[in-house]
Amino acid sequence: MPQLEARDAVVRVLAIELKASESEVRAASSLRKELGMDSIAVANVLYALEEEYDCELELDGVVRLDTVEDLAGVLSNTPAPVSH
Amino acid sequence: MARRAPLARVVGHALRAYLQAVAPSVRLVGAEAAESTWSELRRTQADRRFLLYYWTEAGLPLMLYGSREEGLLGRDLAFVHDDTLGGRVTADVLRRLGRRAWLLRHRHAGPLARDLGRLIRSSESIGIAVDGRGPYGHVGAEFARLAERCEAVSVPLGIRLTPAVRLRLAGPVQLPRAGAELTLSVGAPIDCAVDSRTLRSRLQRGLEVASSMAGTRSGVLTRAASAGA
Repeated sequence: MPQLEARDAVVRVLAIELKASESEVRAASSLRKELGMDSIAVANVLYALEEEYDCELELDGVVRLDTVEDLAGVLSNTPAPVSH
Repeated sequence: MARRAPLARVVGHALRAYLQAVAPSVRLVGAEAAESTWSELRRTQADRRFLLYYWTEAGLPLMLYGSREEGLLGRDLAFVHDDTLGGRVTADVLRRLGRRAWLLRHRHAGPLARDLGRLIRSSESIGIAVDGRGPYGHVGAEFARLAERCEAVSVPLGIRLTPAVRLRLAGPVQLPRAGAELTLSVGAPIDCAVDSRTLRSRLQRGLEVASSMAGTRSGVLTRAASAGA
């Protein structure tokens, strides 16, 4: 998925998780410091993305997951599921 | 990194050997009451997932209890640990005692999110220390959120171990001395259908009460046993 499209998807899902408006979630926003998310909230967002896009995000090698852009990068780098 | 895994194995091996040597002399106090409370919970909350929680320092004594009594801490329960030194030592002891472990990879954000997501969505009952990585003796905010998301029946487990050796191994560790008494108290299940702050306070209070009950029960039953002897 292109990075821009992934970023929009992440912003939308984050806004739902945080009960905030999409305009409050910027690409450079820090998940923890600015958006107040803990690791449980991040895990929930990742799974919400997986359900919506029917994929398994590649997380094992991800060291940095600090900003909205980092999350979008994970989604963008995950191959689309093979449809049968 | 390469030196850490062997260190955890060495410490884990030493702790397991010590526990196995001392275990036969440890007296379980109030096990019948704890098992009875647990059976009643299982009966009234049939088909629910359980989240048994305790202080970090109770971890090894609980494993010792589980190696002697198969009911409450039976093999259908998975103990959660992380990849800190203390966590890896715990995992090693668990493995050597034939118990199941659930790893949370705390070192990096991606794997941690993956592990937490799986833990939340699993239907497996788990045992977990609630003050891991400190501050010890306080229910962590993230644990309260985990309990809320797991939608499990959260049950506090209090223990009293006396006499005990207290060590600091990344986190606090309690080991029984030979002939020690281990008392376990199963607290009342916590209603998690509240906001996170209230839930955290309830979880804290629930564990404090269960720990206090273990202390009281230990004294009462020990005195009763002495009077009957």
